[in-house]
Amino acid sequence: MRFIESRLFATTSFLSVATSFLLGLSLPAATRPRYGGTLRVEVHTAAVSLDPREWQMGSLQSAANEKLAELVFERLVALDNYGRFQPALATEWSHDAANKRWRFVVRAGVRFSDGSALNAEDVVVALQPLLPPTAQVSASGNSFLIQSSVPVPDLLEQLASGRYFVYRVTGGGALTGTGPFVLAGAPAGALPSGEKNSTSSRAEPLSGAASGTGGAHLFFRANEDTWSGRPFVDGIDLTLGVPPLRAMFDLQLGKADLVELSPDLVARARQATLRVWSSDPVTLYGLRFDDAQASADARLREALSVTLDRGTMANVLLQKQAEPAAALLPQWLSGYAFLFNVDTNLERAKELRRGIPPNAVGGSEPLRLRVDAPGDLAKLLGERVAVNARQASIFVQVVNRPVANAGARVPAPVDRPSSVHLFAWHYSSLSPRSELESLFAAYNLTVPSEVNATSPDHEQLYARERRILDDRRVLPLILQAESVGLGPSVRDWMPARWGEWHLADVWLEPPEPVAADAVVPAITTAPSSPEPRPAASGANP
Amino acid sequence: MVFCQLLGFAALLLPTCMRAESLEDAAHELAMKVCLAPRKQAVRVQWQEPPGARGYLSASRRRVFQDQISACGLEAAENSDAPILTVTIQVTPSEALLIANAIDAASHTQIYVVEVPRASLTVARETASTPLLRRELVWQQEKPIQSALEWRDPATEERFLFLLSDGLLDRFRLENGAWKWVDSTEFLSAGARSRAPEASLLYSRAKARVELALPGKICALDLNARLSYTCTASEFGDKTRELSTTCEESPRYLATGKGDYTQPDRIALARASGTAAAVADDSYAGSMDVPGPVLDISVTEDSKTASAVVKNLSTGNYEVYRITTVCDH
Repeated sequence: MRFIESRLFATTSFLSVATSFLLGLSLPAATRPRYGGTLRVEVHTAAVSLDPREWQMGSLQSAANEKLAELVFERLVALDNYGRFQPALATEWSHDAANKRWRFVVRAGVRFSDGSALNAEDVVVALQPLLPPTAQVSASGNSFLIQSSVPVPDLLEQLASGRYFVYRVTGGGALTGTGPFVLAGAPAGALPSGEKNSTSSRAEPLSGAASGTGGAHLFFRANEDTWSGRPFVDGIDLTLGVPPLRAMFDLQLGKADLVELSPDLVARARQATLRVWSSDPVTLYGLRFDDAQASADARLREALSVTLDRGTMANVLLQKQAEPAAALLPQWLSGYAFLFNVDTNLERAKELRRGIPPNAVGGSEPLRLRVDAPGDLAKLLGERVAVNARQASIFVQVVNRPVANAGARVPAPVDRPSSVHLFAWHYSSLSPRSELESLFAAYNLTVPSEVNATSPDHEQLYARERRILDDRRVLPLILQAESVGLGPSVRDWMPARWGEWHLADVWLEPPEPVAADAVVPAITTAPSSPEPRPAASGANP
Repeated sequence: MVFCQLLGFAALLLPTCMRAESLEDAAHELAMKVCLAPRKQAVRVQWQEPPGARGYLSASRRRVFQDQISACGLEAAENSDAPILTVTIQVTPSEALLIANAIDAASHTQIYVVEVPRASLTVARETASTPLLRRELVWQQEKPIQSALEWRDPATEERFLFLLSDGLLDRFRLENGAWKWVDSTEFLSAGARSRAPEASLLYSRAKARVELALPGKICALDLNARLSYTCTASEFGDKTRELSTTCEESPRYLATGKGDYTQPDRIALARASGTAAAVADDSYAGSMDVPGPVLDISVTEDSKTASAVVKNLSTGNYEVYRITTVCDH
């Protein structure tokens, strides 16, 4: 009798659980995350720098740097996905009516990963080299002031993004942070000898091992004492320098949990039913005329502009993983990009071409297009520009970027100067004004005097962008998103749509139990409430 | 005519960078900007809402805009010859932009922009519910809520709401249909701060009291004086989710989805247990979508209602719903 009862209970329970699985429901309010595990991440870049002072604005490399810096450093404020500024290392802020004087209160009780306490002076030392010369930072008790000579109503957008991390430089030039992870070196044997036993983020670039099987590993362990709560995973095992195709295979084979996907592999990954996430477009590819050429012939610039078939570039070359760009800032950032239009007009291009003197550039002499942006995609885009231009009898000679070892600086060309450059610009600021200023400064694009160059007003921003684009010294080509592939066990993947990964919130689903394990009472439930794991040895109490 | 001139003069005094606090204000201020146009003529207003911002340009906001431009001499025309003034709303990470643009005689695009903090926008995404479960929003806030519980004092019949949020246990009393803050006390979880909710409110029917469950201990709330609690070491087993209904004798159990915090959820009524036939039956006869993951559910003292904490994925707010059952006759 006892046996029969037990079996009946087990059968009932099994059916109940099975039904709940079928319906996608679980009885014990199930959405609670779990602690533990190591998140295995693979990225393409072979070298990273975690020192925000060294990052080059707009570079593709800075995008990778920023993603990893978010693991070990924090900013003063954060912008959530609902447009709200959330306190991070600053808990309060206020400003004067002119938006020139901002006061921030530093969060109390925050410690760097080396155990030292964060104070306002740390913030001053960290931020001053990152802020523009128009802003001066000074500490006062537990608060600090940012005094700007120009109004900065968009200061919060700036501080919530880009390189505005708070760090402390320790002896030997190492940087330490307050973030959810601590750079702990690498699993034994996985890192070049120089990287082992590193406990803080060094100022110099961290580069991967040059091995035939892929890059080096960096290991980030969970910061047990972070004020924002211990991350769910115990650590992140990051592999640098993984080729895109191999990364996708690793994801398919369960060797990685999160991999960067190159645009040409996104469709393939989706066909293979892999989980794919794509950001808003965060990288602009465009053409930039050099200063001498810019003043030379407006007809050539317009002719080249109207030959460009951006739709084909986005939809064929990039297999719809990009969109045609008509503006310098993307719609999601500026809000007004939809007001710009560029259409291909070959007849107009031919007409303009006929007006170019035979001995001028674009006439008998080919227009030299130098591909400054790294990667195969940039080369393909350069060749496509040449094909488009040829249809209007404009001859473009493509000069590819010299190939250099990963992490090494590319030497400047010594041959004839190029007339036009193909560039890539990665957006990093959530302030459209700041982003536009950085782009203008990087490419020496002068702002017409009648436009207020410091105003964050969108009408002024639009006017500035309109003047530059009407002048056709810069020709936007495409806007590209970032994509990642996710393993089936990755849960609570809640990135910002502008590309921040938020890996501290990610947790890993344990492997599915075997069928026998499913025969458990359906209503009585073991609490899935996660317990913080015991502090690792050496961590602060 | 004089009025229009005065209005135009007033508009000239407006600051260059206009930032409104609400969409209603923004519609008005945008109209004021449009009124600065040198040529006063009839325009045909076209409204455009991109897919991600549907519903923001409501009829009342459109009326505010059109009334204002009419008042300053820009007559809103219906005929097709009038120049088009397109009004749209665009959302950026931190702002919503109300944009009016028109193409002038020289084919130049003239734009007018008014900015609104994006956080001031709210979207109510209503989802249908089945007859067996009903939800009622009783509280919402921006800060995370870990747990919530409604409780009726049997002695005074007063209704209270307890909230665990941001390290505080708050008590509110229902007065004239609104929750009025009474008092609060700090609650401290053991060990390092956790990223996951680890405290929960519940009503213990066995002990007839409101309790706070923390890791490794159960705390009894003292509700007679200023809010406080006393803890004893005890492993917290499970919160009951048994909900009684007047429709049938056997109780039902509240269940939620298996998704993570990125997905909308649903709350369902499950049969408790029983025979295989009952399970094969429609075990989840009543279910109801909620606008985000369910973070916690606490059943009240009479077992007839429950308090569910939901993170609304549309607004980012944390919401407390009163969950009740109704009989589907």
